[in-house]
Amino acid sequence: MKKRRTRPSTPKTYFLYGLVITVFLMIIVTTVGRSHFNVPQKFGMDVVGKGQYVATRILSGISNVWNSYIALIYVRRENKVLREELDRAISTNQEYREAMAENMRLRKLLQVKESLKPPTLTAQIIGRDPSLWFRTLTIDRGTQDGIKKSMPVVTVEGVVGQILETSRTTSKVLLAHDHNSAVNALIQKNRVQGIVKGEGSQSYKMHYILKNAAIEEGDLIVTSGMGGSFPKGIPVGAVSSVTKTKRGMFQNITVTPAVNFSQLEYLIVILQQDSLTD
Amino acid sequence: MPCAPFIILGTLLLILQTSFLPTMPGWFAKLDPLFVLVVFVIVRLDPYRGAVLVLYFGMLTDIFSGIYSGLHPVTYLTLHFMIKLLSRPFVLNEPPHQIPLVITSYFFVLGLIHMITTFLSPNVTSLWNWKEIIVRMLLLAIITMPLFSLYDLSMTKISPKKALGILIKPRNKNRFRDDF
Repeated sequence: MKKRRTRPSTPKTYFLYGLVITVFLMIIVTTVGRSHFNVPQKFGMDVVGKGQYVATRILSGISNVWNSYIALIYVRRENKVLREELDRAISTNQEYREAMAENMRLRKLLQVKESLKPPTLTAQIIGRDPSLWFRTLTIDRGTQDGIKKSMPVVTVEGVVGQILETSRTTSKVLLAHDHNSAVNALIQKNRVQGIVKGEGSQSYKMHYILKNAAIEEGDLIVTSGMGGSFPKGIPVGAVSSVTKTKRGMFQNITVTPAVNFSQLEYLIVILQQDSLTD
Repeated sequence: MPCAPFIILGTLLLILQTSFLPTMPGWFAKLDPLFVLVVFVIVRLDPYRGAVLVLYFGMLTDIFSGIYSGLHPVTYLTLHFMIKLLSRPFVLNEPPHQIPLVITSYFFVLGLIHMITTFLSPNVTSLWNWKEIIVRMLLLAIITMPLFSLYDLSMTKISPKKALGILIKPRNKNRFRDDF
């Protein structure tokens, strides 16, 4: 009969186990709850960011070949649609020109100093958060480009989110529809202020709007400029539903984002100047 | 068994999962091959190497997913501990257990992350989306066996001696016999 062999439990083995467990605990304790990345995490972000950048470039190359050659059959139909869109855009553009001219006249009339727009930076998305609970993405710009934590990120359509973490060459963006995101906003037509919070899905909720405020479906919501993060007047979305419950002081307002988060490709980071308190 | 090939494989899978898969249509974006690798290293490797790799994968995932530092290392190490605890009585290393193990582990990790995030930010109400969770678990169930085979293959390529050992070594008749 084979003799049963047991692993010797020497003090050396116990010491080794204890050392491993202590190292694990130290790593976890020093990592959990920290609001900034440490050096290895920033290094990891840079290294994997390079890989993501290469993968994105390869993918966009394949996508370009597809769009240029294989998808030619859709060009005629697309051309027709685009011409119609162009006609509409020309007409809208004329309206905008008129509005801009009026705006200029009013500014001169009120002698308001036009504030300088902050410098902006275009960034490409190189990675997306694969998890179920969080909505973040990675862009190909980092601290070497002047990006800092909490800087607002937008597109032409509207608010996208804000910078959550940075490394030298890449940054992580917390999207506005993440549960942990909140943006100070106001209803454009009546200037009622509230806070737009992410819902995790493709919608927001607008909080702290009193029941006596007249809000209707389709009302546009823009950033209020409060809080110092986002400049004033950037589109956030449009009201998609309004409900008033019997209890409570506030209305339940659901907002459709101005931005389609699934189709984001290039983003604009607004490079804010440091405030005196920083 | 060296850890370096798994570190490279895990890093490549994370790049694939964060940059390539999300641009693919439909359910491709919801595939999680890295999680299958996490379960694989827990099941196949010895506890210490497994724990080191799981810690690395957790820290790497932390950089590109989520907003709290240390969330993924803690959940993955907890999963590692749970699987190692249950692997003796339930023989989790056997192929028929792979799919139930992976999807149960995924559900466990999702639940743990949800619980910790709710604890860390009680004002934030993140919705428990059953439909999305079940879809992701089904997708994991589909990819688990092919990926386990692939990882096994890559493991045997890394260590030919071990591969020979797996092929030649007869299985014990009594799986529950404590012979080491």
